Amino acid sequence: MAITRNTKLIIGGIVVLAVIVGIGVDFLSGQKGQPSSTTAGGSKELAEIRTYTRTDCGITPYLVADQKGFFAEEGLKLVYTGTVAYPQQLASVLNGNNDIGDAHPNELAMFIKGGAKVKGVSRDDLEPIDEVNAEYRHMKYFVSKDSAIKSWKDIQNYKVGQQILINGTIPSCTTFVPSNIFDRYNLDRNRLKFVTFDSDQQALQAVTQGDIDIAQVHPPYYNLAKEIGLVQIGDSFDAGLGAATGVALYYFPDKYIAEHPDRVQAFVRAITKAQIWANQSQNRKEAAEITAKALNVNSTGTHYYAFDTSIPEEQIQPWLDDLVYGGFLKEGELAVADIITHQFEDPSVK
Amino acid sequence: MTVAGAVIDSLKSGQLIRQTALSLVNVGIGFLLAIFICIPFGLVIGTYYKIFEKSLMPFLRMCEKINPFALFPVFMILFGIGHLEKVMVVLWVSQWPLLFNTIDGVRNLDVTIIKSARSMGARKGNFLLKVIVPMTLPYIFTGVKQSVQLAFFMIIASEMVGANEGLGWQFFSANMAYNVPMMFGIIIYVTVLAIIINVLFTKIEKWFSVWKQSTF
Repeated sequence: MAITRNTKLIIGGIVVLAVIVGIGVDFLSGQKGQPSSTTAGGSKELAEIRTYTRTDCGITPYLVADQKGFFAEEGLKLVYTGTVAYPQQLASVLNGNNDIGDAHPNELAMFIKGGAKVKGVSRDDLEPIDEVNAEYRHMKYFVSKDSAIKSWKDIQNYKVGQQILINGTIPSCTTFVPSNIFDRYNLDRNRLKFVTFDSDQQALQAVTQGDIDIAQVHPPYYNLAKEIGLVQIGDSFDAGLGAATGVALYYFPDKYIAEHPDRVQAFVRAITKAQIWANQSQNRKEAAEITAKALNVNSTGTHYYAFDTSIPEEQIQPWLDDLVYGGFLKEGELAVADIITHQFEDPSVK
Repeated sequence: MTVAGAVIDSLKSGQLIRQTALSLVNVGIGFLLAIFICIPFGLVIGTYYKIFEKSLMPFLRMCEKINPFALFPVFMILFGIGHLEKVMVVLWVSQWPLLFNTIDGVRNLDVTIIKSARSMGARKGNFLLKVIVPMTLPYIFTGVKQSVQLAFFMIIASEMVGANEGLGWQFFSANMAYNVPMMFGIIIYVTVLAIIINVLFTKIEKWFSVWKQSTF
């Protein structure tokens, strides 16, 4: 029997559809994210804990905890679920795609104010307050080599009456830190005009081109900024708030904390051990190399991390005060206790 | 706070109106540039320079297919991060529907009318202005409506990167601050604006094409 043209088209269409469905099923069944590289030797069931892949220095504690076995020690297996753009990270935690997120206290406060049921359980980054670790400051500030700004004080007479363009997103560390630096140097913080960028690299490009006046960057891009000829005028410690300037928090959904307090505790212990390891001078280079390799960048550097599981409230309060000052929160609307929990502090980890 | 409340508060404070104005200025300038460049270009090459059009068309079609989101970093390198960059993004996306619809319009003119005009002695200038342009108007307006929607769509996207003002920036800021009512408010507000723009251009089209009857 001769096969008509229409029949051939129908058969061809069914075959193509079957291939597409097959690929789709295979794809979805494998969509559980990248497994971590360590296991506990196969003898112990490891609880999976999922997080998005970070493309900045925030990934260092995760990498160290994963590769050095701290997660496995605590019975955890980290699963990276892939890169998630910053604006969607909270949503990915709230909808269960990820278990953990991290944010600065002002960001976490805004999440909670907006109705997100999450809590900070432990500290992530910290600002080093000693000169020994000065190179690990939370952020550094760069201008182009032709800029009239050589120090914070120069801004007083720079572009008088005009706004100072700097990369930043409201509200985050990129707005909190420079605003407090301006306050400390008696500069009008309302002169700061924050320009959104996808990444620190874009901000470095923009300041090189003269599109913005100051670029503030995180590690591991400090060396990159110097390599492209930018001049450093200061760092985050200039805000005068000590360790609070760099503090960030790991957060979990309230529901996850209620249902899996053991896993949260295990995570806090493991990640803090990783942070203590990364802070040690003999391990710094390796931590930076691990980070650079993961991020596929030449420049290296890491943050300074919290060295215990405590969350001193005096390090969180300035971030909330700044939100009140900026009009994002009303006085007394949120207290530190509303955004963090001390439930998982473990003095034995140090 | 409700979504409507967030939008009303933002309107009352003037913030939403200011950001709307900034976005519409960028859209307006980019879109007008696209009209003044692409419609005459499309008419001329579609009518008189067929060989030029045939040789250039594959390249132009390729440029049309380049994902404009992927071009944002390129535009930032070339034009910085201010109004010029936003205008150029709008110009880039809005030029293609205008150009191709204009050329298609010229291609699909009724041959009988062309021959009649020529037999009545229509010269080049008259031919273009009094025959080609009016007959091509429906196609041009299809391109105009597609372009203006694309322009408005892209300005919102481009204002989320390398920006410190505009509706896109305001949406991004609301998103970053987890201000959910404001986020949804801006989505609905932008949708309503897009509908208004579409209705406006449909009315303009009817005014220009008053001689043209609907088939159904």
